[in-house]
Amino acid sequence: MKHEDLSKSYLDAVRRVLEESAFVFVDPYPCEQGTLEWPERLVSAELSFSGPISGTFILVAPLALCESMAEDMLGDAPVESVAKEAIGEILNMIGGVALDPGVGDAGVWNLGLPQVKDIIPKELYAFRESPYHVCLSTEMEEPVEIAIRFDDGGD
Amino acid sequence: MAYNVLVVDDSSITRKVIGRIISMVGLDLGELHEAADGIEALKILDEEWIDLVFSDLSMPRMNGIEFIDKMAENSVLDGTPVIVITSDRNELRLAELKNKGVRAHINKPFRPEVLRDVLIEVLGAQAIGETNEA
Repeated sequence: MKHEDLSKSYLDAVRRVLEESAFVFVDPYPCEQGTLEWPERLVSAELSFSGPISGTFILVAPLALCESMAEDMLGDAPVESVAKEAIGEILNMIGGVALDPGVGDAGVWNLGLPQVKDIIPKELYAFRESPYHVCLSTEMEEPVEIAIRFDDGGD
Repeated sequence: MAYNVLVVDDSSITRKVIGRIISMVGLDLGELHEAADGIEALKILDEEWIDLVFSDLSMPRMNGIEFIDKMAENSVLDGTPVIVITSDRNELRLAELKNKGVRAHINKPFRPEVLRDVLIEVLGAQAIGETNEA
């Protein structure tokens, strides 16, 4: 599988899983446009994968968006730790969909365990250096960013 | 018959979502137990009577495959139906699970009707209050 095929599969998976699991609809927009403001409290989820290509899926969202997604999944307003756990579990599902054997070449893929942490907006610049990075916006104009860090530094 | 169910997943959100959906689709639910990994799950299985297990595969400490192997080694537990709920779509791994006695698997994310259909397949229509009458 080529890096660009996996990148497309990742974006498709992000959109599908956010819609099906959390009823969040996202569309890409040009990052350089810079019209969306990031709140101070962000959550970053990372999920390693290995197989024909190895690397890490990255998903960043505002904490408030994580809280509303968790509430939609649970039916109750969650505590902060559960809201953060939600983005990790969502990324876990995204990884599975993105690496579906029906996508690209057949290969044995393995997923790690999602790692979730708090970040602040200036840390986003590290993700934006990834060869594959996409800015997304929800219908409510909340920013979400995704990236893939390939172990071979691929493009 | 009320079914005692054990949900094994390192995500507390997923455990709660599965619990909600189990009730939503009409399973006659007795007790619902939760475990974050295979080690916790085996402890619960040692202490409680469980009629059905839902298990993830990727979990810390003891993953789902190791947990399923431990159940198979136990003459009391090896007949307990297990349904795997996982993000893993690797067909070889999923086929291997079938060979270990797993009754069905569900890919995440899933719709409630998928879980309902799997419950009918594994436990029979009467488990969710449906009959086979035309």
